[in-house]
Amino acid sequence: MIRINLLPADLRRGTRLPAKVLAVAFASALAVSASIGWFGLKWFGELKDAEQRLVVKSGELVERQRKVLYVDQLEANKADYTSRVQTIQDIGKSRLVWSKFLDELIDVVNNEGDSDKHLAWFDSVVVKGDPVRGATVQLKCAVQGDEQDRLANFHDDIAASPFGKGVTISDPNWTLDEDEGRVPPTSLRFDLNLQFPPTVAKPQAGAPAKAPAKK
Amino acid sequence: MANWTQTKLVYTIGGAATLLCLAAGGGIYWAQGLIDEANAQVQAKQDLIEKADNRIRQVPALERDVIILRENLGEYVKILPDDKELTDFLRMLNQFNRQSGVKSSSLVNKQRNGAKTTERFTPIEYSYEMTATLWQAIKFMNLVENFERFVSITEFQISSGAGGDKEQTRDGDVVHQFKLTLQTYSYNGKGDGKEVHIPDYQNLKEQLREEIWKRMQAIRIDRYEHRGEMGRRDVMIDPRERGDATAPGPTQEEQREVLERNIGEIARLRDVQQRIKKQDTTLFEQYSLEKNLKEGLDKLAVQVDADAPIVTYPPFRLRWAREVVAQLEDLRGATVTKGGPPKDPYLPDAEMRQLVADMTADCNSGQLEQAKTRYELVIARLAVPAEDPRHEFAIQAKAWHVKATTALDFKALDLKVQGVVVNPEGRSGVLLNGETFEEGEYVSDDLLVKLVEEEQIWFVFRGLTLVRTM
Repeated sequence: MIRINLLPADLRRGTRLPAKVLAVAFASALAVSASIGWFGLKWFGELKDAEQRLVVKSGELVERQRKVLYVDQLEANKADYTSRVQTIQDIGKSRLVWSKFLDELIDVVNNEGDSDKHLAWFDSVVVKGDPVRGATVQLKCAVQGDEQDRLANFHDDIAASPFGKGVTISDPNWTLDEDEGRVPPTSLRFDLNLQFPPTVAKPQAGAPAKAPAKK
Repeated sequence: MANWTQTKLVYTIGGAATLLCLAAGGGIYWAQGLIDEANAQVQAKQDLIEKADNRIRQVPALERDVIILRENLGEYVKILPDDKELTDFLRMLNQFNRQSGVKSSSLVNKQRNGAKTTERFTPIEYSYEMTATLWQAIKFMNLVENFERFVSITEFQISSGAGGDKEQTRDGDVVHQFKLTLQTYSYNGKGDGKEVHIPDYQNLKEQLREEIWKRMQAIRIDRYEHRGEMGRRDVMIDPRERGDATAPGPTQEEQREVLERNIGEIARLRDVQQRIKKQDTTLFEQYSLEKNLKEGLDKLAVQVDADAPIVTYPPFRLRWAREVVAQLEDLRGATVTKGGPPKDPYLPDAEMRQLVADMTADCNSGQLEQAKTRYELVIARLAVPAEDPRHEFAIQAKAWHVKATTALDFKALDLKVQGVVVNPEGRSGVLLNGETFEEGEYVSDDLLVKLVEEEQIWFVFRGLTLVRTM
């Protein structure tokens, strides 16, 4: 018996795609679509979104940085002005008013006219200012007579004077001097050194002691 | 493909799909990496933004500090001279010389040449040599130290000019040698260009005006008013009496005797005065004591006039002024109040003229306190009647006293001139203690701004015109 298959070739059982292949193809297509879809979501969704946020934040940061630059400039100005103001204040504080000192020293020497306690005078006065280490005053002194207690009284009065607070006074020492041209002829001559306390607290570079650095 | 087996076809499709899936998976992994990276960058930028925000929040406080400091600095640096003002400083030194009477012999700039001009605070030192009496020199130093621009006397040396053949005198006082080092700082605030622009600066400054003013008080340069000689002796002179036979005048012992005799008489009269005040004395005793006091005072006044030239020993002169002359005036004042005026209760003509001359000199040289004290020491003896020829001098002395007192009160007002606006075609103005006043405006009931010039301001204070230099 001769059998003739009149169906078109692609519909014939022997040549049509089997269901298994179709199933695999369908599953593959689904998997590939899902994968590519996921990738698309990641790429065009999340990544672009993140990039967009990054652009926004970068913009915000640039805006902030302009303001931060302003803050930096303000801080720099503040530090600069503070330093300059401090220097001027140090300069102001570093000064001792020597006319006041001399007035007070003259009061001590004059001693309200009481010449029995001591009668002193100076041959020379040398003052050297140093704001960091403290000013020094070197006095070449003499007190009338040969009684040592007058010298001691003079030392005590110097220590008790308005400028004497905080001042270090040199120890008493003397040599006897005789001048026949004077009455009385004897006097005790001595060097008196006064060391004033520093007027500037810290020895800094830039303190107004000698040569302040650029502030 | 038509010839492919079913299995081969399945593997091919499956394989291709797997490859595509793997590629997509790789893409997803890579994209996730990029996303994470972008997120990390976003987070990092967010952190930076937060940090920036924290700093930006400080802007108002910083602006406030900078405005206060900038305004204060502008005021502070006014105490330091710039180059132009240094030449003015030399003019001021010349003026101080004239006011104090010192004679300068050299001025040497010690440091200017070596200093870097780029420094903001450049120290400038001058060595100044001069001859002067002690009082002239202290007056000069005081004028320098009270100068509006900051000047410090960093070193000085006094060498006594007393004794020896070369001893010189000026106005009766011995001339000494002085060597001073004057130091100031030149402020170079120009050309920095780093000042930040603060928006709405003027408005903020106006809001902070009080704070600026408060902080400005932090810098106060110590000043001192020299009291003048006030009867004190020159401490650079050996006060002992000259022992040579040619030395004129009474000896020290004789002078002491005169001094103590007068002090003793003052004490006796004080005792009489105290006894008069006691309640338990009889009327007769009262009369007798008052008579005794009156006669004693008259006698003592004559005696003091006669003894005054005898007391020349410097240590005794101060005691004479304080323990005799001042005490006698005090006693006489009390007696005048109680028992009527003495025969001639007024200063003698010569002393009256001398008082006016001294007060004129004091006021012209800026010794206002001394002029005031001079007048007040003898005020009880200045109420001269109009018909007395001394009346004219008493009026002159009173006028100087009023001027000195007014000027001292004006000084005590603590007026801080912060700036001037000079308008040649209209009314000029001055910024005074934080407030603006135009010419013709009253600062207080008795203080009027009369004229504002670039370098000085004319005030009228209690009817007296006073000039305040910048």
